Amino acid sequence: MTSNEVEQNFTPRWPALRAAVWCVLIAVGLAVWLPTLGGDTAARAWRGLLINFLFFAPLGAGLTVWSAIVLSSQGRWSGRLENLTLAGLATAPLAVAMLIVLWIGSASWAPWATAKDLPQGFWLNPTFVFGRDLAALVIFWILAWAYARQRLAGRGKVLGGWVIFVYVIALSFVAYDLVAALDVKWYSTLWGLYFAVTGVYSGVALWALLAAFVPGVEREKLHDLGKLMVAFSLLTTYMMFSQLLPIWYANLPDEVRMPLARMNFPAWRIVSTVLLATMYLGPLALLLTIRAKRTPWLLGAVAVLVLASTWVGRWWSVAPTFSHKIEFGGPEIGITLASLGAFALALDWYRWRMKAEIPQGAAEA
Amino acid sequence: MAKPTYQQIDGDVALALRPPRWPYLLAVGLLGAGATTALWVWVYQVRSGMGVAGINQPVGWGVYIANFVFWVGIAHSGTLISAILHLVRSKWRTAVSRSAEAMTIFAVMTAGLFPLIHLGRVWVFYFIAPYPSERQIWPNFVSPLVWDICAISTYFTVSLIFWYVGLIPDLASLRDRYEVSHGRDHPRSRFYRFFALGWTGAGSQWWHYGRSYLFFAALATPLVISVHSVVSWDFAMSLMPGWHTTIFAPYFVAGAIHQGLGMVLVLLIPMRKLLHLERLITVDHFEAIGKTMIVTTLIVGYAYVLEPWTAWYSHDKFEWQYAVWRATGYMAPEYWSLTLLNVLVPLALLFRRVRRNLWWLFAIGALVNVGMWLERYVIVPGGTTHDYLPHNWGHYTPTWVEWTITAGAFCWFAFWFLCFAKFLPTVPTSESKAQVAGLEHDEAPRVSGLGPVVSARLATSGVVAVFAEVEPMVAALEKVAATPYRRTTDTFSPFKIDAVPRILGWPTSPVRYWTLIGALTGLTCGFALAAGSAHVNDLIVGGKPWAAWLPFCVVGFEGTILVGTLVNFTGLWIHTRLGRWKLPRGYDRRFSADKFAIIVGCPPERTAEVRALLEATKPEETYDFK
Repeated sequence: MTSNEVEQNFTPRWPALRAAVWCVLIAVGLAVWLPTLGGDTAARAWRGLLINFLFFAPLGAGLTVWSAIVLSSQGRWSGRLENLTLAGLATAPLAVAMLIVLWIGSASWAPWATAKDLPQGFWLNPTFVFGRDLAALVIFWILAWAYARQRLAGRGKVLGGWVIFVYVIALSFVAYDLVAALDVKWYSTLWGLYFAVTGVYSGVALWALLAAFVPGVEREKLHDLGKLMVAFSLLTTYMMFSQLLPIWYANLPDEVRMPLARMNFPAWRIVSTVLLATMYLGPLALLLTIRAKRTPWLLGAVAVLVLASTWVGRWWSVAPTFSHKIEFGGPEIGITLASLGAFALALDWYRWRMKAEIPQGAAEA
Repeated sequence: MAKPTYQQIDGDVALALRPPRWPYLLAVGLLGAGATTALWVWVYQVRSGMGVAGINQPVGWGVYIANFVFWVGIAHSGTLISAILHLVRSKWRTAVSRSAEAMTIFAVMTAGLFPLIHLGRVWVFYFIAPYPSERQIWPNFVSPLVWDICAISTYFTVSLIFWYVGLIPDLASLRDRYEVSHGRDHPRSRFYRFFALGWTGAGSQWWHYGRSYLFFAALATPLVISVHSVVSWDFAMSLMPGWHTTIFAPYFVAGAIHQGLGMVLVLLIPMRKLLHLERLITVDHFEAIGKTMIVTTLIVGYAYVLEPWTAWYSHDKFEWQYAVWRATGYMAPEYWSLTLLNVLVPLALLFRRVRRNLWWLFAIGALVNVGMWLERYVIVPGGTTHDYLPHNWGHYTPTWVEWTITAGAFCWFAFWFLCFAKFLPTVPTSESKAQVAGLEHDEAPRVSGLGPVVSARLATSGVVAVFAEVEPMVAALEKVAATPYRRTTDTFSPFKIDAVPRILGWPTSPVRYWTLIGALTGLTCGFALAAGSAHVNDLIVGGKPWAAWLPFCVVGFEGTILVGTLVNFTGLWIHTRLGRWKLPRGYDRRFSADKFAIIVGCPPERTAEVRALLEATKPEETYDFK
C-alpha cells in the first residue's frame, strides 16, 4: 500500500476548507465562552468545560479502543476501516489539556474542591483526584500510542488487551471523580462501568460516521458497523436499566437523589424521555432494516444522532445536580463549539498525516 | 492440524454414538443412583418439614438458593457461546457450541428444581402462575421472584428450541446414516427420523433456516444477559447490605459466563478424549475459551474491588460493617478462597502455555466452579447472616440433607449430560462441514425477486445433478439460474450455502416478519399481563403504585423473547415444511453427508432437455426422478 493509495482512501477532502471551518469554530466558541468565565455564569461555564471533557475524552479514547477490541476478538470484518479508529490517538492532547484546565479551575465548579470535612476524606482531595485521573488518562494514552505502533506493524494482541483494561479503569476513575462526586452523597457501584460502556458506544458511532464518508466504502462493512451500534445501544440501555431499577426499587435517600432530579423535575423529565428515544432505543428502531445499516447517509445520520444524544447525556448527568431548571446558553454552547472544532481538527490532522496502514491479515498473525 | 473431510466428520461423530460399553453404563448407573438418593432425601425433607434443613432465623435463604444461582450461572455459557458467537461469526464456536447448549438445558433443569426444593410445600408451587383463582389474587409482577419464573421458563424454552433447531440438520444426517446401516426399523433410525422432521437440506429450507437461526441467536443473546440479571435482582432489590448494589446485574452475568466457561472446560476436555473427538475439538478451541475467561476474570475482579470500595466511599455504616465482616467474620475463609479461585487462579490463563495445556485448563475450570459456588454461598446465606440489627446476626451451617441434595444435583446434571453424549451428536456436523468448505459469509440484501414457484424438492418429476464439492455445484447453479428453469430449481447440501438464494434470486426469507410480529405481540402481552394483574389486585406493595412500569419492562422483555422465539419457530416450521416425514422423490441420502445436488423440477417430457442442460455443467452424475 503506497502513501498515495492511503491518501486516496482516508484523507479528508477539501483539507484547507475543513481546517478553516474547525479553526473558526474554535475561535467563535472561545469568544463566546471566555467572557462567561466571569460573573454569575462562571460555574456554568466551567461545568460546560466539564461536560465537553466528559463527552470528548471518552469519545476519542472509545474510538481508539475499538481497534484493540476488534483485534482481541479476532475480528476480521472491519478490514481497512480499522485504520480510522487510530485517529482517536490525535485527540489525546485535547483530553489531557481539558483535564488540566479543569484542575486549575476546580474551585469554581467542583463542590468537593472547597468543601470541608467530607466523609470521603483524602479520596476527594483535589490534588489526589486530578493526580490519579490525569495519571490514568496519560497511562491509557501512552499504552494506546504504543499499541498503535505495534498494530501498524501487524502485531499488538497482548498490548490491545491491556489498552481495553486500562481504558475501563481510567474511565471509571473519571466517572466516579468528576461526575458522581458532584453530589458527594450519591453513589452507585455500576456508574464507572456504565460510563466506560457509553464511551465505547459513542466511539463506534464516531467510527460509523467516519466510515460512512469514506469514498467507495464497502456496504458489508457499514452493515457490520450498524449492527455494532445497535448492539452497543442495547448494552448501554441494559446498563442504564440495571442501575436505575434497584435504585428505584429500594428508594434509599442517598441513591435515589440522582434519578429523582432527572425523572421528577418536569424540565429534566423531558430530556430523559428524549434520551430514551434517541441514545438508548433510537438505533434499535432506526437501524432495524438491513438497508438502513448499509446506506451511508442513513447510517451517518443515526451516528450523528447517537453522538448528539450522548453529549446531551453528559449534560444530563452533570447539570441537574445543580439546578432543577434547564439552563442552556453561551456558557455551554461556546465551549462545545470550541471543543468540537479542536476535536475535529485533531481527527483530520491524523488522517492528513497518515502515511501507513494496518497490514491486512494482521489479525491472524 | 489438517482439516477433516466431510466423511471424517460424520465418522467421528458416529463413532461417539456407538453402543455404550460397561464403564459408561457403570458411570450412568452411579450417577442415577446419586440422583435417586437425593430424591429420597428430598422426600424425607418434605415429610419431615424444612426443619431438617439448616435454614432458620435469620437465614431464610440457604444452600438451596445458592445452588439455584450456581446452576443458572452454569446454564449461561451454553447459549452465550452459541448465540453471541454465532452473531459475531466466530469460528471457534462450532466445535463446542452443541455440548455447551446441552449443558445449558441440563443446568436449567437442575436449577429449576431448587426453588421447588426450597419451597417446602412444593404442592403449592402453582400459586405463582397467573390465572383467575378462587383466591382472587394475581401474582405481583413487581416482585423479582415472579420475574424469576418468567425469566427461567423463557430461558429454558428458548434454549431448548435453539438447541433443537441447531440439531435438526445433524439428526437428518444421522437418520440417513442409520437407515442405510441399521435399517429403517432400528430404534435409533426411528428416533432420528422422528426428530429430524423430514429435513432434507434443500436450498429452499436452508434459505429460511439461516434467517431463522440468526433471529434465534439475536433473541437468545439479550435473553442470556437478562436471565442472570433477573436472578441478581432477587437480591439487589432488597435493602440488605451486601445484596443491594447496582452492579449486581452485570457482575452476576460476568460471573455466570466465567463459571459456565469453566464448566465447558470440565465437561469437554474428558469428553473429547473419551469420545475420540480430537480431530473436531482442537486445542485451539480450548485456548479460545481460555482467552475469553481472561476477560470474564477481569470483569469479576473489577466487581470484587468495587464492592468494598463503594461500601467505604458511600459511608453507609451498614454496608461498611458488612464488607468488613465478610472479610474478617466466620465466612472469611470462603470469601478469600473465592477471590483466589475466581480471580487469581484464572489469571494463569494469561500465559499461552497454560492456555494450551489441557490438564491446566481442566484444573482451572474446576477451581473456578468451586470458587463460583463459594461466591454464591457467601452472597446468599452470608447476606442474611449479618444484616442491619446486631441482635439479628447469626450463623448458618448446611445440614446433611442440604449437602446430599446438593451432591445429588451434580449427579442429576452429569447423568443427563452422559445420556446426551451417547445419543446425540456432540459436535454440530453440519456447521463443521461448512467450516471445512470455508465458504465466505454472504449477506447481501435481497429485497426483490420471488421465491421458488413450487420448491423443486417437492416436484413430482425432474432431474438431479450430483456434485462432490460445493464450488462446482455453485458454478453449475449460476448456469442453470440463467435459464428459464431458474424458478423450478433447488439444491440439496449438507450445510447452508449463502450463495444459493442470491443466485436463484430469492428475496430475504419472510421468517423475519414472523419474528417481528411475534416479538411485538409478546411485548404487548407481557406489559398487558403485568399491568392487568396489577390493576385487578389494585394493591400498593412496597410503596409502589400499581402501575409500576419500570419493573413491568422485565415482564414485557421476557414476553418479547418468548413469543418472538415461538413464532419464529412456527414460521420456520411452515416455510420449510417440517413435519413431513416422507422424503421427497429426488432426494438421495448422500446429500446429508458429503454430496451436493442441483434439482430441477420439470414435466416428464422435458427431462431429456433438462438432463442435457445439467450434464453440460459436468456433475459427478445425473438421474431422473418421477
